[in-house]
Amino acid sequence: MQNILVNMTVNGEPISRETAPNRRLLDFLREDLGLTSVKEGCSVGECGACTVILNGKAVTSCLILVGQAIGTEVVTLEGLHGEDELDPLQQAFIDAGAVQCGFCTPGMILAAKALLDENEEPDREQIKRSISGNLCRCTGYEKIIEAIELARDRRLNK
Amino acid sequence: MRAFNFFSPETVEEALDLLSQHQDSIAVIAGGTDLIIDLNEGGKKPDYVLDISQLKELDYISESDGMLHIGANTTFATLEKNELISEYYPAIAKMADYMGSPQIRELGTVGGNVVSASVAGDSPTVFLAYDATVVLQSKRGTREMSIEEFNVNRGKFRCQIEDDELLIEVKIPQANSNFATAYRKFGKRKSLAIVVLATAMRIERDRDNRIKDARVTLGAVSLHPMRSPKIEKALIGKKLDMEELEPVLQLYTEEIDAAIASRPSVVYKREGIRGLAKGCMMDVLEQYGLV
Ligand SMILES: Cc1cc2nc3c(=O)[nH]c(=O)nc-3n(C[C@H](O)[C@H](O)[C@H](O)COP(=O)(O)OP(=O)(O)OC[C@H]3O[C@@H](n4cnc5c(N)ncnc54)[C@H](O)[C@@H]3O)c2cc1C
Ligand code: FES
Ligand code: FES
Repeated sequence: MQNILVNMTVNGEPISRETAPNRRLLDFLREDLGLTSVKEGCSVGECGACTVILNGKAVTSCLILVGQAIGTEVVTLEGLHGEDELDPLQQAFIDAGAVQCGFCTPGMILAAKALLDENEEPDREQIKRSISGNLCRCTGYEKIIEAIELARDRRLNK
Repeated sequence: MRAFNFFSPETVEEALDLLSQHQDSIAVIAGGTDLIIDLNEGGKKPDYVLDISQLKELDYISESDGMLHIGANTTFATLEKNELISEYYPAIAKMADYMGSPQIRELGTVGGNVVSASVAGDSPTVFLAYDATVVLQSKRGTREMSIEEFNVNRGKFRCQIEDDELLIEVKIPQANSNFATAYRKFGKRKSLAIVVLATAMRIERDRDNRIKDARVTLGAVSLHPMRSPKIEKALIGKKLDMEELEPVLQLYTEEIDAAIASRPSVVYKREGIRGLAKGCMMDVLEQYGLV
């Protein structure tokens, strides 16, 4: 097996690493880059815990081979907050009480961020649809939806 | 995941060279939403993996020569957002809307769906109703066949693709104002819902708003989606009016009974299909402006 050279931008930083090709983007982000906000839940695309933003779109990193992500821009939860300020979505999740065990939270926030970056003013139905690929076993979703609405309104300065 | 060498060709030509060279043990990967699960769980053990997801050449939706052409690398998210599709190909739009979750729609491609040809897949049922043709290419040349001929198991595939071939595109006759198309499915839940039961139809009307031609397909009741000549025949000549169409629903139930008589789920599906079929009929009447 020949190693491959992975060049990509992760959370704004260019990276260049050699790796075996029989690994998923999920493994590479967690194990090689230490980005442990990216969670492995189901490993089959159903829970959304491994969601990252790749070239602006929310995708499940358990269903991408690391070689397929060469040349892309990847954003994980670690890339959202500034020096001493949280992203509006992170702050809204705290304020709305949308985090319980927290396992689903990174994926939820990134799915919501991909939505808000594409559509500044989504309605409740669009918000629900945007997180329909993310499972949460704790909150019952209601508070998560409220948090995203709150972040939407704050981003629009409402 | 077992070890393999990874190729990311920059052109279709390069991809076909590699496929031809390593055809005994190579797997094509597009969106990866079917293949990576197989690789990860050991269901497939190729020595080489060929990534075609970067091939922009295979990512297009266009109308020409009286056909709609959908490149193999078109994702379900692209289908969902495409104006040509949402305006003129309602059954394809519906399929894209129903398929997977947002994340899966971003990754999953039409080519992958058609080649996987899963019993629980959406596109085979829809494309069969649209009378689709698939275009395949290898170093040996290009060939075309109807989706009906394509959906026959061959070797390790659930379709007629050969080891050294790529699916290039799916094409269907271009829409016109006499066509109406519809698709409805049951899945386990709204998102991530692979098909449990599905039906699609393409109706062509005459000047008097009678059904001139019909293609009706049923999905997830046999190895591959099937057409129902019985239902199609019953529809032809009928006035486009719910009262006239409704008696045909009984034939849907009869088709389900015949297809899956011995399966426990038949008791649900023989009833459920009527709801799906009626939904399709309503969609068709609405597209014609007849409701
Ligand atoms: C959580 C989840 C939900 C899903 N929901 C649905 C659903 O609602 N409906 C549905 O129909 N499917 C569903 N699927 C299945 C899957 O997402 C689709 O079948 C998808 O379209 C596959 O496309 P892909 O590009 O990801 O295929 P890949 O996994 O890349 O490939 C699939 C197969 O096709 C071959 N292949 C791909 N492209 C080509 C080509 N151009 N030429 C030759 N061979 C090719 C590959 O070698 C492989 O054998 C779901 C999957 C997951 C994980
Ligand atoms: S771990 Fe990727 S979707 Fe569940
Ligand atoms: S907070 Fe526990 S899974 Fe969502």
